[in-house]
Amino acid sequence: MLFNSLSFAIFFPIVFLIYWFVTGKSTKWQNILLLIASYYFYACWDWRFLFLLMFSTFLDYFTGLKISNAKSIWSSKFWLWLSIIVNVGFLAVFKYYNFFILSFTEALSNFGFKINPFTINVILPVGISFYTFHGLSYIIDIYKKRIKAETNFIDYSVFVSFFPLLVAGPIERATHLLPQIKSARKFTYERAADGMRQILGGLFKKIVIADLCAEYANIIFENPGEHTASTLLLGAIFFAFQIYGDFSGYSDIALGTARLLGFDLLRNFAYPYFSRDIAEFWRRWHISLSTWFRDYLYIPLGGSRVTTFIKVRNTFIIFLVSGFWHGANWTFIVWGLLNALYILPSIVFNTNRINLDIVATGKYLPSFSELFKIVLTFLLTTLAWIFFRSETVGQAIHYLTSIFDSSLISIPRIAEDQPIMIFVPLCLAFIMLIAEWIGREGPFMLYSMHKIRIRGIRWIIYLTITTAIYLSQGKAQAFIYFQF
Amino acid sequence: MKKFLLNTLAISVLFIGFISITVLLLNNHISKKAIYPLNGADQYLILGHSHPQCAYDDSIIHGYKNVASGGESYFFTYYKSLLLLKNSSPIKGVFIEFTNNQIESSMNDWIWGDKYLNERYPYYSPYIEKSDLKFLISKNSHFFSQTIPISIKKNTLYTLANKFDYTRLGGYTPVYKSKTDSFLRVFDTLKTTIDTTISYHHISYLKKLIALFQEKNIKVFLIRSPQHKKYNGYYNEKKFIEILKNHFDTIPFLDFSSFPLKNSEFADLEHLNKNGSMIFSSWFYEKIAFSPILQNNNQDTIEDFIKREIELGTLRLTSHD
Repeated sequence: MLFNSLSFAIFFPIVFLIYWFVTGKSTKWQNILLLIASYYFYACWDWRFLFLLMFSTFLDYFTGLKISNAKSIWSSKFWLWLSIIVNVGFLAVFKYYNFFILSFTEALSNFGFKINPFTINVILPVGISFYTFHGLSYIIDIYKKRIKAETNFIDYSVFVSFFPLLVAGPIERATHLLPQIKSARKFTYERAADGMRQILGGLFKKIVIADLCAEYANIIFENPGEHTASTLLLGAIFFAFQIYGDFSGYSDIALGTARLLGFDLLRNFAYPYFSRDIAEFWRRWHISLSTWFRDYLYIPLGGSRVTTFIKVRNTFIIFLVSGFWHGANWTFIVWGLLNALYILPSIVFNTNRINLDIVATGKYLPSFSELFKIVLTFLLTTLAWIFFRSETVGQAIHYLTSIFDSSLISIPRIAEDQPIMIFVPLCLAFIMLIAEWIGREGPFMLYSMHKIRIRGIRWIIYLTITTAIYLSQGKAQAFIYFQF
Repeated sequence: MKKFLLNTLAISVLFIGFISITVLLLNNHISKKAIYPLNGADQYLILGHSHPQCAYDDSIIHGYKNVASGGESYFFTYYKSLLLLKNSSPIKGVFIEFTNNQIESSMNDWIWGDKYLNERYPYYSPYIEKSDLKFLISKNSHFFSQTIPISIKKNTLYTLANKFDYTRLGGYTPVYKSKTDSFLRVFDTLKTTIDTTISYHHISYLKKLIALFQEKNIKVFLIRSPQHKKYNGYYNEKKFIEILKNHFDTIPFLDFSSFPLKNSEFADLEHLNKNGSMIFSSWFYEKIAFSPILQNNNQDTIEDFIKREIELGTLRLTSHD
């Protein structure tokens, strides 16, 4: 069930009404309803993997209790590592087994050894990377004594499988979400209105921006040899907007949906395309994953209170793992390493934390210097996205090198008969950027809409956005991050 | 909560109202303006799917207009016909393709399948009758809800561009390749999909289409375009003949399916290529187009006529090689 589908448009209002009107007086019953709704939501993809989700939930619940009640450090360690090994093991089998075995076979064949590898033909359970990370953070936090183990199985199950974040995040922390699950939720108009605004903005990003950019990006990436350098660059820019619109749109819908149910989820995006350097970009892009890696990998490796060499090593490890987390393909690994290279100078010269504020706070426009840095950062990330989008590293390198050609100074075009159409998604993306620029001091794109005092104007804007979303929809397109 | 629900409801009502008014205005404007224009000299129309679309070269058959379109069900041919009938020039007769694959249940997909609805519904949305609209919704409500925005978008663009000429929705389409030999080489390994279920919906829309023309005193002929003798669609020939006799007994059926052509004159086993259509269209123009046999309702007459043509050598004696 996709957020941008008719089935979700029917499913969610039903859950919402039962949640507040039928089970509203009991947190326990609200949580049971959320669990049933979440399992139904997940089963709509593939009910067989529901058992995997249930097993993973039970394992972490059980090992969490064991760690909490362990009488010795060795016992505690045993249960921690059991949970880590089983969780990562599932991820390895479902997501990485074929990649490893095929890469190993290929490496052997380079030395003249030919073997017939045993590959498994299994589809990737949707959201496995996300709920595995939920479980891992919970177990590690118990081990580190940051939280106590949850004794209520229903509450813990809701934490792992809460449907707004189940399939593509944000990756929540038990310290943040579990207390909300355990406490009574109160409906407030302001929170619900914010939720609706965030959902509206998310749908706009997904259906109007991402899906339209995807059409053109797909055409260009499928046959890069047929296009001029300027068209290839535009194709990469389309993909940059596609992936942003797709993933941040999903996150906005998830956060907005959770808000309507009385929850505040972790923020996942903070206008990353207004970043002035790569370090800032990574503080603003997929924040829940970046902070997860920071807290559970970077800091245990020594964090930033180490020598420059170790810091650089740790940064490379983080980006390598981050790339690999996205998918079992060398393209993601190269994408991660390229970002590590981008961030390297700021690590070495210790300038990675100079842009912590919001760009041009209190001003209408950025300064020329800020604008230059924003454009440069955007172009660098866009070039890295080429690896993320390409099927193979070879294809990505070919695409990248083809951009630096004399035809870069030409008018990009795809279809000879409709040269203007190619600029339509760019114009729409530009509109989105303007809306984000206006709202950049708030938590999401349409947050500052409530500041417009005249209700009529506000409603006209809502209706315009809703109409744009309605007219842009075709067949509901899946979200890119579902595959991770 | 009350304020939130009321506001959500109010915005939803406003949105639905806005969309409904837009659809009504667009439909009203387009239904007044849109037309499938015909040349004043066009007296006969050829309707149907890809078989006639590739077979009848109307640049050879003067006075005939091929408006057939690949993948078109009778459902949409009916609405195309409404646009054709808006022309002031009198139409004397229509030739509607009726062949083996048009009785298969796969034709249901041509009426309400996602792909076909997406392609065709937006063009005809201003004309679809209420009963047919209900029918489509009952068959594919999920996708149907998505075709409305597509229709609004397309129709708005056409209105803004003043594009009300619907000739893009059909016409003779030459095929320049022949893959017949390659098909025949693997013929024995090809798996024929046996679809024994019948699309009675499709048959009922053919009846509706025929009735539309008959109301206007336009002579209707069912035709079967040339097909290769190894065309795998013949598996339901018995049922096909039965339906023809039971449902369309009074409609003349001109069966050109065994019109003799070489493999190189077919694009594949069911479509003629450019060479094949030239030969067939020339023969059709010379012997059929304005022949007195069109005045005769007796199917035996046309069959005898073709046999005689072969005997006389007017039609080549070389059968499928």
